[in-house]
Amino acid sequence: MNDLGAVKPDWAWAPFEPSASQPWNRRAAAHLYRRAGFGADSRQLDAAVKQGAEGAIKKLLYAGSSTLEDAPAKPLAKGGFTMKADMMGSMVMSGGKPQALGAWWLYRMLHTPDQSLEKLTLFWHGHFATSAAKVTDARMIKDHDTLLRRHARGNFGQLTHGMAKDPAMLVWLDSTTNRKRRPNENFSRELMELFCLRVGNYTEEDIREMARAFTGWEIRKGKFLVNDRQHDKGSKTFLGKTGAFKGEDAVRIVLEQPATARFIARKLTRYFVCDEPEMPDALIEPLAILFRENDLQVAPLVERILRSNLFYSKHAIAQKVRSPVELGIGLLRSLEATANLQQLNQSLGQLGQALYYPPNVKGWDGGRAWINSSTMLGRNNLVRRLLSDKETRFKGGDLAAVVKSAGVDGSEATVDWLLELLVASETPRSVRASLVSLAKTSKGEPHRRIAAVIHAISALPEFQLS
Amino acid sequence: MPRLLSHLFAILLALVLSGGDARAAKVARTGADLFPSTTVIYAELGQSADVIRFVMDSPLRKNLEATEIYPYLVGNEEYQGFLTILGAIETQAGMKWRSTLEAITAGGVYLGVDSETEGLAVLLKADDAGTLDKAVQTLIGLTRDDAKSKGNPDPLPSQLHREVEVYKAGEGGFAVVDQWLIFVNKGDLGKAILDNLLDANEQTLSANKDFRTARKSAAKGKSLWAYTDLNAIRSAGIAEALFTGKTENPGAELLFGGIAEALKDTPHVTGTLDFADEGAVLTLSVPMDSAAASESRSFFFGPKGKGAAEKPILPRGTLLSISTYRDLSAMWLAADDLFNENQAAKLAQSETTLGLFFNGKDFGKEVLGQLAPQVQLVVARQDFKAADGPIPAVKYPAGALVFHTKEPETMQRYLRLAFQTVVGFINIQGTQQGRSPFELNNSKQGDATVISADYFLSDEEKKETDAAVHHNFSPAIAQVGDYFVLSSARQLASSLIEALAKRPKPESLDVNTRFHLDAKELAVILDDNKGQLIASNQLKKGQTEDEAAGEITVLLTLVDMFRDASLELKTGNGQLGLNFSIGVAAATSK
Repeated sequence: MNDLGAVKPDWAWAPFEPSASQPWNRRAAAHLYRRAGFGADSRQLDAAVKQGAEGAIKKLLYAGSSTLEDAPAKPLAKGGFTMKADMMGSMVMSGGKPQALGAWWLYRMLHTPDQSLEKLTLFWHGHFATSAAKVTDARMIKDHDTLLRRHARGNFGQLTHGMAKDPAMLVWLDSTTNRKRRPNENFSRELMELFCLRVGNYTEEDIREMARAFTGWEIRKGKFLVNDRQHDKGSKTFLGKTGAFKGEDAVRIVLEQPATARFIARKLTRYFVCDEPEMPDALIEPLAILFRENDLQVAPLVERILRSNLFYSKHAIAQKVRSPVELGIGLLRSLEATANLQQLNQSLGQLGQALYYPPNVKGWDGGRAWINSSTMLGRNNLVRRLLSDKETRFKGGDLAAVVKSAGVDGSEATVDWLLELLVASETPRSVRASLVSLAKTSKGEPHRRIAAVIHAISALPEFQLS
Repeated sequence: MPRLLSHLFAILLALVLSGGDARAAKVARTGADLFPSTTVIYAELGQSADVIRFVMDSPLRKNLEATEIYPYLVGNEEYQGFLTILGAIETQAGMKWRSTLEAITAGGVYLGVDSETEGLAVLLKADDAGTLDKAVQTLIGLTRDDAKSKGNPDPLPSQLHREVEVYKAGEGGFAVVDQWLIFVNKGDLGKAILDNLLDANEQTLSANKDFRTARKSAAKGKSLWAYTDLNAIRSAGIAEALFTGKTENPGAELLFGGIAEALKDTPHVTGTLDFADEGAVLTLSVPMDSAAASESRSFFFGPKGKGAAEKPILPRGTLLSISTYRDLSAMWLAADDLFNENQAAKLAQSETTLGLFFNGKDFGKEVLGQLAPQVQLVVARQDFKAADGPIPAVKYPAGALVFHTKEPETMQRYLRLAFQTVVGFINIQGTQQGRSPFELNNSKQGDATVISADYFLSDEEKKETDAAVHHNFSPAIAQVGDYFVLSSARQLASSLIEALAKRPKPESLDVNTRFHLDAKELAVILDDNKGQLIASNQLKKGQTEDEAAGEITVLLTLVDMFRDASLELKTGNGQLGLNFSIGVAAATSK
């Protein structure tokens, strides 16, 4: 049981200082990489240990930018990976099939030098959940993705303003027309309930009144436009404010609500720290204040979380269930491998996380919902398939080369190295002994023997946790 | 003097006779004389030098050597290792590998699969026993030395079978007898072949009646000739679905229904393969009287089995053309006989819906019945720069069907109506998805009338250079005399009108179906979509951009080395024949 009730906010969010009981080592660095990104290979862990916790966080979060101000606007490798990945995205999108974009995003997650950008984009994809099941235009989905990525570490206000005019979002919420005689309440409802405030911080009357502010906002031929003749220019009253508000005013007023900063801070702590239990208000409040003080900039809030005592404590380590995407991409990144990403995308969909196809407007539930008897088997099979598929390629040729290049030799050392790389928590001695025995007795080439051990690790309950 | 002359004459006669006997013996003993009579698949490569020449000296190889990828192909470790081994063999044998290979296969290469022993054998016949023995002993020596150096046991233990040394490898092995080198994967088959060779048995494949019949009708001078005993394969229950005579799928029936008809009871299939500098030709034929085909397959073979395709129309940029004889109405009306209940019911159901597009006409009789059986499919590269519209990021070729209508005036009116109705449906669906609607345009091109459905776009949209995939389409129909063209793009419809206008009158081919693929156009289309192919490879194979680009370059280079490929289905002379030819691009001067 993860008891957060006794955790003091001052200690929780104070910068993490390594100690004898909680050192900054490869295991701690692996935890940071799994949460802020998708995973690290052996060399990256060594480098992170050398950089120290603060250096590693800055590298992950600001991706080489020395200042916080630069980071959101100037993502890493603008002319390198980002540019190539964007060109590739355009190519994939031009095929006209939104399903193909999922594999493209996995490619970004797997190869990007800027993991936190993709991890936060994934967070916002779940937050502003919009599904290609209804928005079948690949270009709209790609533009939606671009909007998420552009502001993923930046200003939440700008992101929300963008969402209010995003064609994919409005198609998804059946809000492509909004007439003054019959205001469409869908967007105003979700803006408050799911995107900014949470239930309990607004009334049904607020929804109805706010919907009037969005009248005249339409999508025509895939583009946002304001139909002035259909806008209700009358006075509206919602969330304690009165005026002849337009849509932009409505978004601004919602963002100004104290509940907005609390809601986003709570959701981000759940994403980065622990699935359960829900963070007490006292722990959320310092983060909400920080978020507001920084004009709803996401990066400082995430940095505070990742640098905190709480993040490196028992309350966070192995306290989250890996999502299918984290499991698949994490495994490949840790083992320096590439794979058939179209097939991986399909497999992740079967495990409940098809990118660009969230199940509903609330996004993925996450946490324990990822695991049931069927998905457990599916997760294990996914690992087996990734390890044995002929299109999975490991740096240096095979798993034996990966292990060798890490300077690891012998069955015991290999098992320890793999556990440190792939499992968040300490593994019971008896389990370790079984794995060592498997490593020693399994037959076949070195690659197959190592793959057998990884497959066995993937069946452990500990492997499902991050 | 007369005595001397008579002596000389006697000597010459003896020499001629003995030489004649020797040649006769050489000619008589082919692989078919050694394989058992239960052989079901047999192939003989009589002109092995042709194949070696094709591989080593043809423009195909010269083109490959001229490509940028060639140094990479021959620079890899495996290939260099192979060359080292080859060099060692040449040194030991004292002969160049090519002349050795030519010498040891000069009498032919024979392959057979035997149903009795379920074994496979390959026989090589040399022109000279000494050369063959030397080459084989060199290889055996190298193999044994290699095993010895690694501390492994003898990989080729030998034993005697009727005084012939037989080398064992797995369940099979090999042996050299005079000019013959015999490889088998099953010992029993090896014994049978050796016994046939040593005893000059007559109960071999050569004595098989059906084989002899097939052999008689074989074309002479081909590099490779092959025979498969379909009766035996059918009796063994292998690939049963192939011999049922049914296809159970309208698409498959349309393309292969006649072949399915032939395969259900034809005794054998024979094939030839011929190599020349210009390319290779594969011919398959089965005995079949197309005039006696079942009634339901008359749509495929036509009256008296003489249904012939029309000479293909080849507008500029043609990638693929299929010209065929298919009576679509007859096929539709024979659905109950051709397909299973479920499939036939589906067609019957769709008949009502399809009829609605034609103002309630009976689709099978009154719509398809108005189309002559000469049907053509043309697929051509699109020149987007020449068209006044957006350039899609993914560039698909356009496709068109060309029909003759029996009563052009009446029928083409109904076809126009159906086209307008379909475009209307597409517009309703498209606008719901935020796509621009089609607008119908009527125009004249010479005497032809064209109705096209073009996307309704703003000037800005028309200038896009990475437009969405649906901009590959601008459906059009055209009427050119009694021809009716249904095209996925206006540009192709227009090119077809031009091409049709240049034809004085339709000409028949002597084939049922002709398929032609232009490799140069394929290369251009692939090159136009290179970026898309690279991205797809990166996602599918997890490759880096450089790796994916390299692989696509190899693909483009390989396509560029060919000129074309064609396939013809022929009927007549009691045969159903399939000719597949592949043309090699002329050698580059690089």
